[in-house]
Amino acid sequence: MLDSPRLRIAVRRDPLIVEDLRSTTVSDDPVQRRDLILLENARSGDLDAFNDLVVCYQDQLFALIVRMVPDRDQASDCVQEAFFSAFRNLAGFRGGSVKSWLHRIAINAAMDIQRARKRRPVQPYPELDDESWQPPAGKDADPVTTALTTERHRAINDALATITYDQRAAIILFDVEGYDYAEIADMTGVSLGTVKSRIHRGRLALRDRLAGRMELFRG
Amino acid sequence: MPHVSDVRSTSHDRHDPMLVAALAAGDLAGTDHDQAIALTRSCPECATLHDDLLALARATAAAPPPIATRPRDFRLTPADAARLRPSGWRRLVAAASSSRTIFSRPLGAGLATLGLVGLLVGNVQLGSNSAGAAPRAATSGAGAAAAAAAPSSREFTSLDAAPAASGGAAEGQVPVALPAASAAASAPAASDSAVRGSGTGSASGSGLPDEVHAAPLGVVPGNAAASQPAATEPLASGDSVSTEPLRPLNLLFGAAVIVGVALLVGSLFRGRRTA
Repeated sequence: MLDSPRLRIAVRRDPLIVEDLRSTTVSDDPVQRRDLILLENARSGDLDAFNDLVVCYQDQLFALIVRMVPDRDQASDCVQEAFFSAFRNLAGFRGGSVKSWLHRIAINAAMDIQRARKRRPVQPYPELDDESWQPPAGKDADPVTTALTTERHRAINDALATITYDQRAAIILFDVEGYDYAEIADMTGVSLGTVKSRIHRGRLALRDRLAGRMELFRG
Repeated sequence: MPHVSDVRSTSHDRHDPMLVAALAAGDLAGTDHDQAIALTRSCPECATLHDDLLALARATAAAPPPIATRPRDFRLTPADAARLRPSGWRRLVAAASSSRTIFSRPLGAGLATLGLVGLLVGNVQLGSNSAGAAPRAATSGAGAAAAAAAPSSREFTSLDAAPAASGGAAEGQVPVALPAASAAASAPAASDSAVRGSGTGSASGSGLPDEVHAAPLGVVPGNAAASQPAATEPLASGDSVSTEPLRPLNLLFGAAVIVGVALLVGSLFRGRRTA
């Protein structure tokens, strides 16, 4: 009976606690093991351990959230609030990937920010008017290629900022972060079909926004 | 006569772009997949759409974030940590509803159910006791019966049809509820009493303690003659004994409901936000 597939599925769906993970899946992934040890220490009251986690993930979380929340200050507040929430709810971690756990908290915080933003709209991506920053180019990069790449990135970021938040979040989690449909559905609290629909409609919306600039992306 | 290109665009407009988008995302299988492939082969616009969507997906994945560097360090200070650590009852609820405590949800559901059932059963029993007391009270009268019933009347609200038949017990007192005992015979008189009552009637005339007068009893001074004849049966002493223990039980069950609901809400909220 213990070997029945039904029971195995139930066990896999029910997240294991941290101590169990250490002895199983954690040993295969040093990053995951490091995260779980830091998290366990943070649970014990070690603030430095939690801040080590923050240092490990703050850039990733900011890069994720700043694509979703089109304002640097709001994105920054959102990430800070996500870390606050993670610290408050250390006991709520059910095992698995610490990175996914933090991403989920950050996405929830971004949703809250978006709801608040509907009441107080802001200018999206004001930093894009600043021409001073360019993505780093390789040593032998052709200036024309570099300019095209920069223009392409600018265009796609502009277009992303104009589609709906739900579509943007789904596309970023799928295309940029590499999560699969089930993980995105779990993170955003919607069904698998809704995630697919958001991604498909979001890409179609992106194409509509970029109708006059699609040559940048072809070839 | 429409131009040829117009006919083509009209034809493409009838095609389903979501099908092409699903094909580009690799989500199709079976007949849908075959249909989408046929569409992209037969319709140049659909083929272009498919290629564009693939290119956009690649470009999205390769695009750097619009803002390269985070504006500040997000590490927590000791002051932040002290502020964020749950304290007091929140700490208790957090500990109890922690997902590590795998019993939190079943425990919460069990406590809430137990509390609700206890409250329901207790109050149904209370209601049946008071309902049973009313007919007996109807056959009894004032005087000694009123004195016997008065303590139990403190346990009832006005809706409980308190078992006190206290005609003539206290003239001038404000009647809050019409008692079941005298409702049928003396409702008009009770109303009269309510109009005439000053609310400051003393207990000296009725022989009842002061707290009895504060109880929500209907007092019908003008109907004393109607209810006096059968004033011998001590009716409600048993009722007061049976309902007395329900009060702490109600408190206990109410506390169980509150704790159970708190556990459930805590675990559900934490699960949604941070799981």
